[in-house]
Amino acid sequence: MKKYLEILKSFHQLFTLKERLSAMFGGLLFSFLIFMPLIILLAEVMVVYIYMIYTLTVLAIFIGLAFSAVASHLEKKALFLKKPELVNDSTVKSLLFIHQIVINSIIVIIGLCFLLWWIPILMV
Amino acid sequence: MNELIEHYWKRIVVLIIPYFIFLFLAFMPIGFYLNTPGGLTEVEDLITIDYNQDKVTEGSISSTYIMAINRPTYLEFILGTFSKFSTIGILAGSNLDYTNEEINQISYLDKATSVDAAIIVAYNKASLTNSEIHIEYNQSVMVYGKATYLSHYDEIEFGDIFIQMIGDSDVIVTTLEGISLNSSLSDTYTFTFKNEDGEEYDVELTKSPETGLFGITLKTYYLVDSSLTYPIYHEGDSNIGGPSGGLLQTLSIYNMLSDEDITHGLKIAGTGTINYDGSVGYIGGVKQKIATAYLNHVDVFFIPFLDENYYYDNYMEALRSCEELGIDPTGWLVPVSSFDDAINHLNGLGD
Repeated sequence: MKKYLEILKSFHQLFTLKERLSAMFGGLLFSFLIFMPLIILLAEVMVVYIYMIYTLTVLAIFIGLAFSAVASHLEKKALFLKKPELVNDSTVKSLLFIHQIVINSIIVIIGLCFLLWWIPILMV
Repeated sequence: MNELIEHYWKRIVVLIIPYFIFLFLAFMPIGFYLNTPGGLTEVEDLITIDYNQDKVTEGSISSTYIMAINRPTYLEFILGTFSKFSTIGILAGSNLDYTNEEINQISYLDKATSVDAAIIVAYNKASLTNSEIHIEYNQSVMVYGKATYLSHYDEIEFGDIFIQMIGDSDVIVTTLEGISLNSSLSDTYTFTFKNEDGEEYDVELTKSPETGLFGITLKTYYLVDSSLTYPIYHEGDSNIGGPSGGLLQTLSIYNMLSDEDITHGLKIAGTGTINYDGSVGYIGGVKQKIATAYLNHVDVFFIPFLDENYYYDNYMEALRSCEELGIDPTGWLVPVSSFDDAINHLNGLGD
């Protein structure tokens, strides 16, 4: 935790709030635009092939993980495009890696909630 | 973000047209219907009864649902063609005039009334051998269909209860049969309905000059008076509409009321509406229901069988579907024409 706070502090020194928000928003938006057709396709497949709902939910979890990975990659890309001199600096990479672990854990937990509780409740 | 736009601008320009074409395919509905297999729902998840709670039920009784998509999008339509289990056709009949929301309303009305019918049939059957069990129910005439020419179309909702009509010579009509007998002298009559919230409202309905009809379909139902019924039952919310679970709901409720376990440890499923006299009625989507039963490895699957000479008899359709899908129906596909047939079959399994 102490190490994380140190990385966060140095990250805040490297980029202004506006730069950080702009990169994060850009990463999320671009990732969303890339994944939207895939998400729509998966939703439609789930509707038509509802008897495979559990298999498709597992697939959805993996797509969620890929979405988060692409968003993180694009955020990193946007930050390095703003300050190309920091490409070899480990601060950004370390911070986004930690954030991704947290986000991925949340995605997996939500997916498990669907598999174990919400889908059986919805299918009554 | 601007950096990303500048960096990926060429790719954005190339992909923008296919992107919007995909969105069009994903959201544009077309005038077809698409039926695909669904799953099994254990009736105990929907209805529970405060009775025989120490009884252990070794098997399960489930109704079968399918995915019936009215006006699928192009994308759903294309995806549906890849499955050997799905059926695609042109939307026809009354469904063509109704919006998807209205079709859902009818479907949920069917579900709610089928649960009441199942409770009535199961309680009546169980009360024959157990005097403790008692049920009371009331007749109710409800709105089941609306023609496009119905006056006050938006004010009258599916499931609203018909209270009365002021007929010829100011006769108060409260029965379904009385409406046509007392509405011949004029074109416009005052009807009173009760909505979902219990509020009564009056509407003046005018007959269509072309058809000579009001354009409203009313249907008689029997609704359980739970305050006068023993044992008490609890009905949960359902996300699945339609009346086709009637037979299996009746079987499961009867099993909850009965001292013995009629499941005999088997995974029992099936389909078919239930009528108040215990007879079973036809359902749609037979092929998808057979596929659902097959995919879920059921031990017994009940299906309505009323007339072997009728091409669209559900059992005959099921046999054709089994042949088409390469499924062997031996041993698990059980034709029934009534609730008693199903009970007799299950009792036979226990001998």
